[in-house]
Formats: sequence, C-alpha cells, structure tokens
Amino acid sequence: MRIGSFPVSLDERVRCTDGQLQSCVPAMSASNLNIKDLFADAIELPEAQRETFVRDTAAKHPEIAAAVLGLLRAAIVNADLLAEPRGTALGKLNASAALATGREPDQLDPRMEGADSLWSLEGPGTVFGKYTLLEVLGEGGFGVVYRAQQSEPVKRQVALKLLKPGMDTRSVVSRFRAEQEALALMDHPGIAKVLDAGSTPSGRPFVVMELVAQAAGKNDAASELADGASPAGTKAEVITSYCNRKQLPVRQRIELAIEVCRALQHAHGKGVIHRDIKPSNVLVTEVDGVARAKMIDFGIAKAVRPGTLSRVHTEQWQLIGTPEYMAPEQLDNAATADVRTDVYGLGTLLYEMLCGTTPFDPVMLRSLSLERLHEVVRTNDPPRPSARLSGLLDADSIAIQRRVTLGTLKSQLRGELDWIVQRCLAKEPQRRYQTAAAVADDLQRWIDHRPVEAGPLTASYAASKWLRRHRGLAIAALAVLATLLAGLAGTGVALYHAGRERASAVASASEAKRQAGRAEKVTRFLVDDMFGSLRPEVTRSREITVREIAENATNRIPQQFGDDDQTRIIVQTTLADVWLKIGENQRSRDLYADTLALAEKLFGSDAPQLVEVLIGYAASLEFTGQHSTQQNLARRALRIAEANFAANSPVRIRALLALANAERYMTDLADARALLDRLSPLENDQSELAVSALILKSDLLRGSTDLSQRAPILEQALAKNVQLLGLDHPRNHEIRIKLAYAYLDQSRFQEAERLMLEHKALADRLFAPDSVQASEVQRLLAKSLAGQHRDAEAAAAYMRCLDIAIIALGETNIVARTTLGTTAEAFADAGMLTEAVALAERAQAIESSLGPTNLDNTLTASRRYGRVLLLAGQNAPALQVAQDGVALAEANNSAFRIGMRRLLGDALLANGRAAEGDLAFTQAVLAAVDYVGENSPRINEVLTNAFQSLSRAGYPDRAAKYATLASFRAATGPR
Amino acid sequence: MLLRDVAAGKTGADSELLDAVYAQLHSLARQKMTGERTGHTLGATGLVHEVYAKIFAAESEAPQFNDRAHFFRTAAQAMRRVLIDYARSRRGAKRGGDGSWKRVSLEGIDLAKPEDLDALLSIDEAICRLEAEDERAASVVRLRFYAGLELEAVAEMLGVTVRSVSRDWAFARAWLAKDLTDHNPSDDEPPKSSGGG
Repeated sequence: MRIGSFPVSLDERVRCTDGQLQSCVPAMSASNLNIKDLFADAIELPEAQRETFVRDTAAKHPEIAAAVLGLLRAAIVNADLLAEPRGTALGKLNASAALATGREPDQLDPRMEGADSLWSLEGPGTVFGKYTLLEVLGEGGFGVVYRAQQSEPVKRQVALKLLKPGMDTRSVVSRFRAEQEALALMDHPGIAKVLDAGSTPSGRPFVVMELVAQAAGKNDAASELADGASPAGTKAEVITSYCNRKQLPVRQRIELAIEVCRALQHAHGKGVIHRDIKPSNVLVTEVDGVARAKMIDFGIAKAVRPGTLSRVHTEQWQLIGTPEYMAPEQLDNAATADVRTDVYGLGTLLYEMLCGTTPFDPVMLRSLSLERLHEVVRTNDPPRPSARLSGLLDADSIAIQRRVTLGTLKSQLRGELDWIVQRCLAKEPQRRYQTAAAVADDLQRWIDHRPVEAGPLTASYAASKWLRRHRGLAIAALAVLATLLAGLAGTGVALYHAGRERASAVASASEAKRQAGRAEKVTRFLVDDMFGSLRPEVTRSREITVREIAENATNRIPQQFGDDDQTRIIVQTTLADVWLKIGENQRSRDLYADTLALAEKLFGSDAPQLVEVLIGYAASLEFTGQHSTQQNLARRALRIAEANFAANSPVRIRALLALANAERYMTDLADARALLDRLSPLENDQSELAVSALILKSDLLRGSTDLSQRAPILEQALAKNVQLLGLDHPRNHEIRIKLAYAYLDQSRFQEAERLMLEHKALADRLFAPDSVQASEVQRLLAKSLAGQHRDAEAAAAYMRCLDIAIIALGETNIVARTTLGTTAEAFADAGMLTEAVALAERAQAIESSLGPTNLDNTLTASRRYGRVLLLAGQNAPALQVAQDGVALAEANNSAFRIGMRRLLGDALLANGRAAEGDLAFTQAVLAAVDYVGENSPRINEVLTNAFQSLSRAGYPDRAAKYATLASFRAATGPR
Repeated sequence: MLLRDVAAGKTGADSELLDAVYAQLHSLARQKMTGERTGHTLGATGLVHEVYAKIFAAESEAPQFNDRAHFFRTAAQAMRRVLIDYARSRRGAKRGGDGSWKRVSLEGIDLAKPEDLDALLSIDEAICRLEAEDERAASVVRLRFYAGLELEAVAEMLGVTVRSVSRDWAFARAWLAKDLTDHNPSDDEPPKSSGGG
C-alpha cells in the first residue's frame, strides 16, 4: 500500500470544527482530496453507505478510492488492533483539560456514545418553542451554550445551555423545576439569572439563563447578529483568562474574587448551592471599564448530578464534571453538597487565579482509577499556591501576567494567601470557612493589611494527613507518634501562651505574625524533615519505626533551627517527649537537659517558658534512679508555674501532676499524701485532667498499706475516660494496665487475667502486634497466670512479651530490660532454671553496661541473677555476684545494700560458710535500721527473712536470735 | 536541572532528557516485571504517568518544569525504547506470523508472552513505515500507544483539534492494520486457536 504516490497534502486538509461533523462532509472536494481525509469521513458513516460515498467522492481518482476502501476493510477486520480498554474509569473523561490550564476542558468527543446523529439535530438556526439558537458561545461540562433569541413574553437574547445527550431528560428537567423557585429568588448583579428550563423536541434538556454578554449594557441584539462576532468589549470572558489577558495584579484578582464570594453568599442566603464552581462558570464583563464578575450555571449541577457517584456512573463520567474542581465530599456523594462545598470550589478558583493552575494536576487525576482518584482528592494536600509556582515551568510568565517578578509573586502568596486558599481547600468541610462571606472577609482583611483569620496548617493536622496518606506503609507505631505530635502544636501554643501572659496582652499584629511564622516553620520541619525524609518508597520493604522518625528528626534539628533558639526549644521539647514515650528515657533526658539549658539562656532561670521543659525533664528521669533530681525539677516547675499562671491553668496543673509523680518515689509518703489533697478537686473535672489526677492518685496509693483503694480509683478513671474519649481511646490501655496491676497487688489474679483477655481485643486493634502495648498485655497476662500458679503458661507469656518488647524497643530499652528480668524470674518460678539463668545473666550484663546512672536497675538485676543462680545450684557464681553487688551498693550508699547483703547471706550459706552468712544477715538488718529507721515494719521483714534462710539452711541456732528479736519487736515495738 | 536546560532550549539537553526519562521508565518497568507475581502486563499509560508523577510531583527534589507536551513526547519515545529493547532482548528465535498483533491493545502488552513481544516489534516497525507516509498520524499513534495519552491530550500537544487527531487515529489504526496484513501475508488466514481477529 502506497499512499505516497498520491498527492497527500496534509496542509490542505479540511479543517473541521469539532462537533459539526456533518457539515464538513460536503466541503470535501476533489482538489484537496486525500486518502486520510476521505477515509476519516467515510469511517464516520454507517457501514452500508461508506463504499458509495467513497466511490462517489473519489470518482475521478479510482486509486484513491481503492486505497480508502482497503483501509476501511482493514479497519473492520482488525477492529481490535490498538483498541482502547473498555470501561476504564477516567480513560475517556473529557481529557483535553489534561493539558490546558485555565481553559474549559470539555470538548465534545465525537466518538462518544454514537451521539453524532442526535447531536446534529440542534444547532444554529434550530427553532424550538420560543427559542431560536443563534450561535455557539461555548462548550461546558454539561453541554453546549448557545446564544439564543427568545420570542416571548419578551424579545431578548438569552444564553441557552443544551445539555449533553444521554441524560435522563425528564428527571433532569423535573429536578431543575424543583429548584427553580429558589433560583428565581436570586437577584444579584454577580449572578446570571436562571430564566427557564425545558426539553427540545429531540428530547434534550436545556436551561435558559441571562446572557452575560449583554451585561455590558449594549442590548443591541441586531448589531451583534449582524456582526456575526460580538465586539470584544462586550463579550463575557472566563474569569481566569480575563485576569491573565488584562494582566491583573494579585490585589485586583483578589478584589474580583471577593465579588464572586459576595455573589455566592447571596445565593447561599436564598438556599441555592452552586456545586460546580470553576473558572468557566464565572464570567467577567467590563461595565464602563470596570470588571464585573458574574456566576453562571446555578442549579445545573444539582439537576444533572443528583446522587452518589457509584461504579455505575463511571461510564457517565463525562456527565459528572471535572474532578479537579470537585470537593472530596462530592466525589463520595454528589448529593451531600452544602455551603462549604462551594467554599471548596472558591478555593480552587482562587488557587487558579493566583498561581495559574488547578490544585491537582488534571493529567495526574485522569491517569488514576476512580478509587485512586477518590483517595487522592480525599487525602492529598495540594501544594500551597506559592509552593506550586516553583513547580511550574511557565512560572515566570504567570508572574508577568500578574505584573510582578516570580520572586515577588511568591512572596505575595506565601503566608496569608496560602493559608486562605488552604483553608478553603481543607478536606473536612468543618475545617473550611463556614460561609462564602467568611472567605470574602478574610480576603478583604488581606487587602486591608489586617491579619487574616486563616492560620497555617497545624502540625498535628499535617502529621495526621501524612499518616493517613501512608497508612498502608507506616506501622501502627506511627499512630502512637501521631498522638504525640499533637503535643508539638500544644507545646508551641503553651510556650507562646506563657510568653504572652508575661508580656500581658501586647499581642500586636507583628507578634502574631511572627508566631504564626514560627508555627509554620515547625510544621514544615515536621512534614519535611521528620516525616518527609522517610519516603515510603525508600523504606517500602520494611516498616518505619517511631525510633527512626525520632532519630531522623533529632539529627536534623541543629541544621534546621540552629539560628532560631526559640523554635528549637519547642521542637526539642516535643522530640524529647517522643523519646520518653517510646521508653528511651536516656535519649529523652539528654535532649531535655540540652533544651533546659537553651531555655534558661534565652528566657532566664525563672521564666514561665521553662515550665513545660522542666515537667518533661522530670518525667524523663523516671526509672533512671535519679529521684531527687526528678523531684527538684518538678518542684521548680511547680514553683514557676505558681508564680506565673492561674490556679486552674493547665500548665500549672500539669506541674502539680509532675510533682506528684516524682513524689511517688519518696520513701516517706507524707508529702505525697499532701499532694493527694491538692489533686482531689481535679477529680471531678470534666476533662482528661480528671483522668490524670485519678491515675496519679492511684499511683500515690501504691505505697500505702491499704491497697484495696487503688482498684476502685482506677475503675473510676477508666469509666471517666471511656465517657470522655470513647472505648477505643489509647489511654484506656494505660488505665487497664494499671488496673490489672492493682488487681494483682490484691491477689485478684483471675480478675486481672479476665481484664487482660478482654482488653487484648482492643489492644490488637489499636496497636501493632510488635508494639510496647502489645507486650504489656502479655506481661500482665503472664503475671496473672503466675499468680494462679500456672507457671509454665506464665513463662510462655513472658517470653512472648519479651520477644515483642525487644523487637519494638531494642534490647537496651528500659521496658525490654525490665521484661527480660521478669521473664527470667518467671522461668525460675516455673522451674525452668537453665532458661532462667541465661535470661538473668543477660539482663544483668545489659544493665551494668549502661553506666553509673543505671545503678538501681543494675543492682536489681544483680540480685535477681544471684537468686536464680542459687536456685539453679550454681553457688559459687552466685556468691561472686552477691559480693560484687554488695560492693557496688555500699559504694553508692544505695538502699539496695539491704537486699544485697541478704543475697550475700544466702550465697554464703549455700557455699557452706555459715558464720559469714550469719554476719551478712546481721549487716543487712543494721543497714535496714540505718536506712528506714528502727521503727519501720520493714525491719521485721528483714529479720524474718534472716530467720527463714538460716533455719532452712540447717542453722537453727543462728536463726533463733533473729526470731527472738522479731518477736520482741512485735511485742514491745511502737508500732 | 536537566529539564530546565531542555526548557531553555540548550542543545544536547534533549537527548539527555530522553536518557533520563528512559532510565526512569526502564527501572519502573523492571520493577513491574520482577515485582509482580502474576502477569507482566506493562501498561504504557501507567508507567508513563508514574514517571510523570515522579518527575513532576516530587516537589522538593526533582527538577521542575511544566512543558507537559514536551515531556510526553519524550516519554513516548522513551517508552518505545524501553519496550523495544525489552522485546528485542527476549524475542524468540523466530518471529510471529500468527496474527497476534491484532490483539494488541492500548491497555498493555503482556511481556511474558513471546507473541506479544513479536506483536510489539511488528507494530513498531509498521509505525515507522507509517511515519514515512504521514508523520502526524504516526505521532498520534506513538503518543497514544507509547505514552498512553487521550485523544484530547494528543490534540493539545500537536496543536490541532481533537477532531483532527481523532481522524488521524482512525486512519492510522486502519493503515497499520492493512500494513501489518500486507507484511504478514499468513495473517490473512483465519486464526487457528483463539479468536484473534
């Protein structure tokens, strides 16, 4: 096949206007006859007519006719070649928008649904009823708009929108009629009036509107008709192209947008929602040289888009509209549109007016399946307008269209205009402006250089967005982090708040702006550095842990905030909190120490800004054995808080709670009890503080003799938390764990077991299988099993708990370490001594490797190791461990010297060194007297223990004196 | 930077860009081919749009530019190279002749099937022949077939009306079908097994 031998002239090909295919055919003449055009014309005809058409048209060129007929046959025989996939969601969506920005996307596709014959029934010159179609004004999402002549009751020109074929005419018209009453109430210069609706003889629905082109005041239909084309000045123009053609600067664009908002507000006031706001539905005309915006197409979207966009509708996507302008809730259910849906529409309009393109890239959207499209629109935040500019090649010309340089344009948009647009485009309607008037007001504030109401994206919101987007990849551990990150915003606010209280209401506009800027910076850090650098693509195969995120963020602080100490303090405080929450107390402590020094340098040593840092610092010292430091920090926090904040301010209450927390570790509980009284008023508070107070109260009661009080308090805390925050709230986990401990303290093992088994369902849902929380549940289960002497089951549960803890936290983590120790003990209890020894040894090795600040844990581990060795009959190593332990405890004057000497006594006895063992027990008693005082009941405990050890080891004579002493104390003691 | 160079019209940048896009496509394609357990359908649309997303959507790192038309032209070329390279490297000793090209659709080419690879090569050769006859029609096919673009997008890119593209497309499909039939005479016989026609 050779077409080269014929005069193929592409330049001379017939140019046809889209959608007017029939009229093109007669234009074909022999002079510019070519194979391609003849073929293309022929293939559009019914199959039976093709051959005749070809032979007639190319009568003088039989070679051409033959070639075309050959192609036609090939087309039929091989119809599947390069066929398009059928039924792909957006595949055939009016995708010319794909490449156009700011241009009406919906070209009518002649391939569509065999509409050609129907389509051609109406066109310029067609008369139906009182309307005569004059010319095509434009093509829109739902159909073609004609200028039309109305003959009665008044002679005038109108805009008549002929809806696309394929719609259910009757329901469209009836829905439109239903709305018409409301539409008729609208009377605003910024709204094109809706005049009529009906259907053509061929059954296509149409809607009649005020002709916007007439708004220029030149109501001279005749001249326009005569001209054929209307004079440019009177012609309505799509708002974005108007702005660009006139090169309106940003300020004038905003003024125009405000007009749109006001018009929309009017419609909303009459109960009419537009539902399809986009540039092509906002036309601009000039009245005496002044630009006036007018919205068209009210009521149409509602009439044609009645309900849910189900899978069934995918075939009709072209009827539904343009996804890049649709609000998330519209994609889910087109019927749910309310005022705030239009606010979203305003957002897209503003976006495009400001930075020259739509929030979502149309090409991208159209390449997606319907499900992905939903997901993207629902979860992806489009870049801020100012940021979007950096991504556009024609950014420079976009700036020129706004009569500024690119740099200037970016700085004009950055900040407040970004925020206003972002607020309009919020995914959740309740986070948007609630009315169009509110948008107008904020835009007006920007014009007037007043601070706008919209603020930057908050950190916790950004974080939750990120999490939602990467739900499939980020593990549940991130969910824990998300809750913590809410604290980032919180910390920031508290610090500002503190600063403001001190400076007593000098919140000037510039101050507000600086703070907002800082919040923005923090958010960026969060999104870009903390999360952004962890690309799910990169970490695809493995899970991202909280630790990685925190590590990553901690490392980036110096370079990000090196020059901004104030912000650095906020960020570091939050990160230190994250470290603390995942059990990395030492990392947390180091970061807090650094932050405190920074804050003292910046604000002074008594500044209110220090309170949060001190509270966190104190908390990080838990489990590290530095109780007195912890207490001092908490006291200092409370002192500063009391000097700077009102009695019921949250900061002050948190400081109080921190101190109560620190006091738990005091041997004498008198001070702690005093704190209990101060906490009491909080218990009836209707907030989470009440829950905190109750939990702390139960903690403080841990040292009391009456353990029965704890469980009811925790049950109350649980009930309150469920009432305030719901059944699925993570804090319920914390409370249930504590409650289980309380049951265990009272030997209510079965209740504890039941509580944990019941709780496991929630924990499995809330937390990852290898999370700290999951290991806690196992631990409590193990404990309650051990209490019921189901030792083997308990040991197995401990092992599960340990495995999880090590995976979740790493071996050196405090929780993992504690678990390691308890697991060792559980195996010992279950009589599985080989395992017990190995675990206890490992625990001891880890603890002692962590340095002098880890003294308490090291000694606990040593004692445990020694005990397990004794149980296993490894007496010599046990003695060595005991001797080392005593030396270490004595050197540090630790309270553990009592227990260590008892261990030493037992070890000596086991090695047959009775006299030395006896002496060790005596020294243990003396150490106890020295440490807790002569009158403490704990002395009796030590005495009894010595008696038991010595008698069991076969030394009743040596044992006797301890028993005598104990009974003597019992008879005469002051207790 | 590279993309900016192209935008700025620097000489030589064009082929470098092609290499860059090619590399992206190639690695994506390889991922697809090795990463998915069943089927090796290489959807041109999907891949090209993924590359598009990578190059354009990654706000911070990737170079930015907005000349989509140019991108897609380049992507179509790159996609073609990816597919042809792959097909050539995997092609069996003897080619086609079973009419398999008739079933090739825009949806994707199953690279696990030798007959699809053959079809791909046949079609590509035919497109090259079409180019000699009608350059624009060939461009339309490449943009549709290799870059997965819609008619409307192609129209925008070539600066002609949708209708013209639609006509080009219909013409090109028929032309290719005819050309392939002429070049594979055995195909005129009815297919032996599954209904390929």
